[in-house]
Amino acid sequence: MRIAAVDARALELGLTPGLGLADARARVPDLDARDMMPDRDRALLERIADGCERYTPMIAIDGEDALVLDITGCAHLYEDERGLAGHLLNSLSPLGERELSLRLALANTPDKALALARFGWKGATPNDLPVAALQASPQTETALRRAGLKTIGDLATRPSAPLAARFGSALVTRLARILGEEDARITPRRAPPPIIVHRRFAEPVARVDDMLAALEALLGEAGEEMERRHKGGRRFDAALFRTDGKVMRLSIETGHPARAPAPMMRLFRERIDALRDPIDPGFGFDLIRLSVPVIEPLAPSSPSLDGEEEKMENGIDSLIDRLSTRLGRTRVTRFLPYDTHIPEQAAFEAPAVDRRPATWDQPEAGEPPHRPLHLLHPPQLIDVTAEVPDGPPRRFRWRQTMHQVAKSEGPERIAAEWWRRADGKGLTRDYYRVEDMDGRRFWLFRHGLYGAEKAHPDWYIHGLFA
Amino acid sequence: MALCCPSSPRPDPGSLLPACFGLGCDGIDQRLGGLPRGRLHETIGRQAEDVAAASAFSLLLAWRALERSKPLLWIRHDKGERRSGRLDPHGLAALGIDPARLLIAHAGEEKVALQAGLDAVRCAGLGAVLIEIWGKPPVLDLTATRKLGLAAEHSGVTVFLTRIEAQAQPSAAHTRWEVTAAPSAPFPADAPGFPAFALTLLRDRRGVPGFSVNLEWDCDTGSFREPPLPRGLVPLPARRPAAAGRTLARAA
Repeated sequence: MRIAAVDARALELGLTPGLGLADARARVPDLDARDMMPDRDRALLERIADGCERYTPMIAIDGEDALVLDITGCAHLYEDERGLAGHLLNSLSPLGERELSLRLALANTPDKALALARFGWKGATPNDLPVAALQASPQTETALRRAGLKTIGDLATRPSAPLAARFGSALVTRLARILGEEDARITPRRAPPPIIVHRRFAEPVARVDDMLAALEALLGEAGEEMERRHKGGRRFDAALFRTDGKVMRLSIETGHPARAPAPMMRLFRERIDALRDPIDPGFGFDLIRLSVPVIEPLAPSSPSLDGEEEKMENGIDSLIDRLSTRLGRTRVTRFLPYDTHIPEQAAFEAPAVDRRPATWDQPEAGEPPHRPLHLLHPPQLIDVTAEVPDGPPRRFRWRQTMHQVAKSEGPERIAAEWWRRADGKGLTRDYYRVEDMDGRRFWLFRHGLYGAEKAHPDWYIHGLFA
Repeated sequence: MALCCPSSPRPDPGSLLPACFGLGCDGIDQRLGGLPRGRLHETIGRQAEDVAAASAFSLLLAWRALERSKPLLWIRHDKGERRSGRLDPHGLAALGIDPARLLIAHAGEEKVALQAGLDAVRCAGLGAVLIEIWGKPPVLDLTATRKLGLAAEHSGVTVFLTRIEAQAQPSAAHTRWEVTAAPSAPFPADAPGFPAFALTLLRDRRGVPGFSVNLEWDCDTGSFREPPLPRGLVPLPARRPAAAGRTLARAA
């Protein structure tokens, strides 16, 4: 076992990452060693990143231990950049029971800030940083050090063409970025939404009702903004920032672009009612942000030529929105066809909130249904007695009940989709429509052709007819 | 709509009220005077195996009750989904029902299913609502069905409550049917025929006396009909005892 990370005190004692744990214990007998938990570290970093969204929507996670915030145009809310940094440090201090060691750097490009935060010290400039800040391969680093180039400043003074020829152009680019000569934008964790409104509270709001009232006001603001742009929102995300850095997210979706605050508010209330744990305000919320990530064109006011029809349509749509919000978007569905012969794959259920109805084939006239109303998924294994191994079933046992077959029709032979499979195999199914003595109709199939594909094919029940 | 539309004008005998829908079978329609729209109708399948027959009968009644272009919402319970499988839209289309007009809602609990049903019934844009409930959950009481019935009267949406593995119990339903599958009229080579149901009218609030009847669903016209006489049945000779003919008819 090796040490992956050390705190400041351990560093003072001479322990470094990469040292064997046994060696470290030999040097410091009362060492407090903990197992490394990368998932938990990541979760903590994500949580901090969520909390930082109050400063800017442009946040990226870099590596295992760094956050990059693009605060262009955001600093004035905290007087200046230093004010923002101070607020950030203050808000991170109560996080968790243990103290986090934080290093903060402000710079004009993300790479410069990252290099300063990782390798710098107070008052350092990029020129003072060691060549390790380039994060090149160990061979390159050794080669640079052997050439007497120990700091970024040493490299900066050299012409870049010989460096690129010797170490590759990636190093030169990296150098330029650390020096702030070349800019690279960060890729934010969440794309900044087209419409974003927020409300800050001087005093934290601890009552959920007050918070909802503020949310309604925000919905009104966002609605006005969307009306100006002739747009409507399909998705609304509300983020509630608690004073202790925790963030609660609520999101709703609508089937059609919308911007009126009242129905949105109803959906948000539905969403809150459907939460497993009620909203816990803790010591209160100090910031609420509403973003509309998906917007679509919506005419300023929809004039209705046929008022009644439109009202009806709206009734259905708002019902679908409400049920989708309460039950979950994948729980209110409509059927869409899929082009395959395999019965269980020939259709799928898609969320009703974002799919329009499809058209379906007309059945053959004068024929009883050849497909069941209920399709068991997966098909269930049954015991079947047949007169001949490749003949229709005579009786079968399903769920501990024996069914005598009175009428049967088949087989309807459905081959496996060998053209989609890598091995080109798969068992053929022989489907039979059967009716038992009580008049119940079932859909059974024999899995595999007797003799050719399988010596003793299994039987399955796949569906129930009306 | 590519498929048949039951609200299209058809020569209906017995002059049904516009607020009523018929089964499409003259004898039964005259006896019942049609079933009213905007009411709660209950269908009971006593055993788990009756699920296909009971839910299909509700669905077909709902399809008959549906007005032009309005959709149908089927609220299913996860327990039912586990026991009877999911719905096959191709099977629906084969019954003459357009799957494009069907919306499905899945609920994890009976309470949620009933609440969603109540919300749906209040929405006048829907044509009909089907609620499928298994067993005898405590939430499904007289109050819950009364609420559904009142909401239906207010909005005009017809509600069908399908109860599987259940006994008839007091409820505010307008009509209550018990449904099991009936042997179908066979097709050539002894193939199973059109869907057939053995129906018992247990209750009708208008006071129509209960009766039992076997009906067959005609997928092409979208209506119920009395099952045809068994094929191959020779007319009775004049001097043969009638009882023999009856046994013959039953055995066929």
